[in-house]
Amino acid sequence: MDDDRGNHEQETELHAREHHLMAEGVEQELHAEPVPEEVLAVPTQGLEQRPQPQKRVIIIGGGVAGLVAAFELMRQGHEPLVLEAQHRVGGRVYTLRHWAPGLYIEAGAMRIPRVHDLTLEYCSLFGLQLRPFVMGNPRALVYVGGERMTMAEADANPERLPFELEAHERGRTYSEMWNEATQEVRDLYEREGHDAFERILAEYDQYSIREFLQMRGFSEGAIELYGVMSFREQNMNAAVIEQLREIVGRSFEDMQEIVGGTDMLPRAFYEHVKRYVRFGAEVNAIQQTDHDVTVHYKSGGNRFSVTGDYAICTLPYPVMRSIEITPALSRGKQKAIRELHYNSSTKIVFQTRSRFWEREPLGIVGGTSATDLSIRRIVYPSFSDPTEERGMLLASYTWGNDAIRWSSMGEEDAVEQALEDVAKIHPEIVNEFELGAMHCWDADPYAGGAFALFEPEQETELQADITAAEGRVHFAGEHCSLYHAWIQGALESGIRAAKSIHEAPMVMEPAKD
Amino acid sequence: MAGGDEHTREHELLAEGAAQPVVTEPVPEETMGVAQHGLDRRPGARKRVVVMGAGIAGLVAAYELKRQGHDVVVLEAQNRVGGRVFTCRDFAPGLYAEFGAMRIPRSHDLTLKYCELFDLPMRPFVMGNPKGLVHIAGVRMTMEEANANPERLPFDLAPHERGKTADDLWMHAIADIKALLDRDGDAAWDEIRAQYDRFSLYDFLVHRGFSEGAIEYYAVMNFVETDMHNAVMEVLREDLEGAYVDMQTIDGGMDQLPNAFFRDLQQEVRFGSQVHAIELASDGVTVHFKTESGRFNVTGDYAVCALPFPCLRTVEILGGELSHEKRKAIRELNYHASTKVLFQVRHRLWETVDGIVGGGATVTDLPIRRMNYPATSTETERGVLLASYSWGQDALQWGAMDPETRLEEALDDVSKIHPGIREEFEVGTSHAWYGDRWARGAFALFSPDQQTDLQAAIVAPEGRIHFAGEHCSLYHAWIQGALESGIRAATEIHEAP
Repeated sequence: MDDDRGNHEQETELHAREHHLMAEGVEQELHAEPVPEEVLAVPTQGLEQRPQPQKRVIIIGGGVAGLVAAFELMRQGHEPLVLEAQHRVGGRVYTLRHWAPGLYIEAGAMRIPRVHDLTLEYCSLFGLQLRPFVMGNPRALVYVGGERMTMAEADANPERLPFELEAHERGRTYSEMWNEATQEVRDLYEREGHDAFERILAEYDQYSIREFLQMRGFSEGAIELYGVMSFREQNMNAAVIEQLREIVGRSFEDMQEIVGGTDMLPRAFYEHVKRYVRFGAEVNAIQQTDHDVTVHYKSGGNRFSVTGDYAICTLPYPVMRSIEITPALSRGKQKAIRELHYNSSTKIVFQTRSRFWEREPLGIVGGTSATDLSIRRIVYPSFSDPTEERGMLLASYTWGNDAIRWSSMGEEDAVEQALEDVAKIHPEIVNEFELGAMHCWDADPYAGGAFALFEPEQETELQADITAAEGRVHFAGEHCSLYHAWIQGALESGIRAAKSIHEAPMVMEPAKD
Repeated sequence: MAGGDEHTREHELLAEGAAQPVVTEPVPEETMGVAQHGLDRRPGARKRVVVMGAGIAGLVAAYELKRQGHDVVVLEAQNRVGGRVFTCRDFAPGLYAEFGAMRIPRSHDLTLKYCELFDLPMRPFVMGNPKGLVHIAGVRMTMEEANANPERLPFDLAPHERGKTADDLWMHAIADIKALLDRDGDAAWDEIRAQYDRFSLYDFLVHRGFSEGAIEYYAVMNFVETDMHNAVMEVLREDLEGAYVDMQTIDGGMDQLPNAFFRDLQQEVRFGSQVHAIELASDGVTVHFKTESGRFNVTGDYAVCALPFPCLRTVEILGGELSHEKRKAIRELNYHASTKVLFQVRHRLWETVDGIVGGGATVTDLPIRRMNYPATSTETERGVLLASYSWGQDALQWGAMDPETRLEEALDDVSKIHPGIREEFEVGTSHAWYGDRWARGAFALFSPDQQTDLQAAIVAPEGRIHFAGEHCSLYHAWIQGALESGIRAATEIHEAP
């Protein structure tokens, strides 16, 4: 990654395009995969047309995975029904709009890498406008150990950062060290293309990030430097494979955002599937027979059930855990649901009277400041709206234990605490602050965590069971893809589920009541 | 006096001149004597000490300093003392159950000494009851049956693992480590740590040749399925030091221990006082705190910080910075999650229907993970069931639900094991420790390498601030760790020139 600033803002994610260009026609396997041609064509052409009787499909969850499945099934003449527990669609695509008129900010997904072709295809289908999302900004700040400097200064003089490095590590940026540590993987991939990933998986799936860095000779101080600057200090036990996949995928280059808010995408789907969505419907049980599926849900204190030919469950696995399913799921699926690790994430956002950070001498438009404070990082809006004085600041974006801890505070105290932290870096904030809010994805009962993030060996051990259908129940959502945390994963898995159902042979059914 | 000194001292008794302070150690003789005799008496100026947090660590530090004539003030944010010793009494008169610490192993000598000092009534806490149940993948049997016929449990084991219990497999896996300890005594811990601190529990089992099925088996039976990537050292230490052997509990509720300390500290404790900043100076420490009525501060010659590190993380440090190493330890030390769900029932149906008498536990792969049964009572037919006790990611999921949903979901699960529960259920309540803003986690639990990398910095004093709490000991999660570290902090201050 040439633009190492990109590293400051990665999410745990996958790429795809790269693989795709390099290796054609690879069978579905457990490792990173490009989105196949026929799936990429779905946004423009829909699923393959085939004459057949209409299928009734109950879709659990109105996030992006559920919406795309409903949309594509509807386009083929099937009858979907989306059960959504909340009052909105989008799930972890969640644009907060309770601010001064016209202002908004993302509590969830906020950017789309250029390599996420499938996501961009749907944006284009719905005529959504995109604009650049700034990842690295040399004028953004670093505040570590009470020292404040710009990213450019930190890159030029890494020794100003107070980490205790070995002689050979001194004077180097963390991204130089990381690039060197991963050079071998990068080279292997360059040489052998997509097929190399299987070997990379076999070799590295057993390692946590921490173990990987130790193996590459990082000192304790260098591991700390890497943890703090990459915002992963609380995720050092997660599988390194998630990150190796990013590297070869180059998915941080050329990020985009949807003009008007990321929720424009789920809203666009919703416009088409409106009449098939039932809000306020909280699913509590799924029963299947060899010819149909019945989904039980609660709404307004009453209990209802609805029967279809198939079901697509897009609930995050932590939420699935409390759904009653009969007959019992396979042992493998049960284990995957119990064990799949989820990362935590919390965002604290501020509305400010002016975008003071854009003015000189700061001059920060877009990008991220890195700190060792409890807020961890500040993300500045990429778009400097000339018609608007006010601004929305992502005052804190945290992962792992840091994120969970914010949830214990309550919104008011958390906003106050975040203000105190931001003021250390931007004293102006005290006078500029107007309103604040917090969203903790762990404390959100309909998310139960921010996104799937493998622990060592989980990809090898669980992935086949994570995605497998169980009888007439299919599974979708970012956790059912290898694009953890990304809209692309929700889309890809949602289309996969819709396609499997669309292409499933009809069986003779007894009459239903 | 450098941090970790209490370890060093003991260490010196055992192996002279050994330089490594960061090892598991029994509580030193002189600390053991403190409960009865107090700290070493020595002439010296009366010191003013500000103690942050009235959990067990803060209380014992204040209590022992006061016994030596020092002037203490204890700042406590909540309306009770005890911290993570928290007996819930929101039930029918006379009933109670524990949200936090609920048992004391026989090996926790220091804890038992304080119970004795305060003359607290003890009774056995039943861990393994052969009539307790196992309910996995829908198959239900008694613990006795599961132990006699492990192959009835639906785990996919390798041929050489079949017919063995998870305990058998584990004992076999640690046999060499146990032999090493038997041979070299506590001095062996150095070597064990050097060898195994980098291993997660998962790595360790793989290293010992466990099949994936056996790992799953071990994990489910020990409630650690979502915690397999924490340091194996924590498990080794507890297992090999008998942390689960011959357990007792305080009859009438664990809160009697903190309440007993409090009886002698009535005037010293200030409730409703939330610490928000600590100001360092060369000759003292000023602690800033908020109450509902305003902002205040108090200055002492020394301070004892008994706040869990996740709480300390948002306390502002003024007049300087903590050392780089301490700040790193505060940021990185891993904390475990734990959630408990409690049911009050009209009749103890597990006694009448299932013959589970006197206590014990049930293990399951359902979200509730485990149940603990209360001791039998002759005074009432009612009882309070620990309907779910979960750790890690499981505990966080329970925490994410609103309190009513927790009860509903737990009832669904419990009714699979005790179908009569809906008839007998009266009221319920729950506590998720990660969601508790005065704890922000259940207890410290090392990630791989953290003991080696962080422990010295965790316990080290910073200028005039001394640190205590279970996280500042190697008895993570136990009252013993709070007591031992609290006494250490008090000793350091008492003996400072």
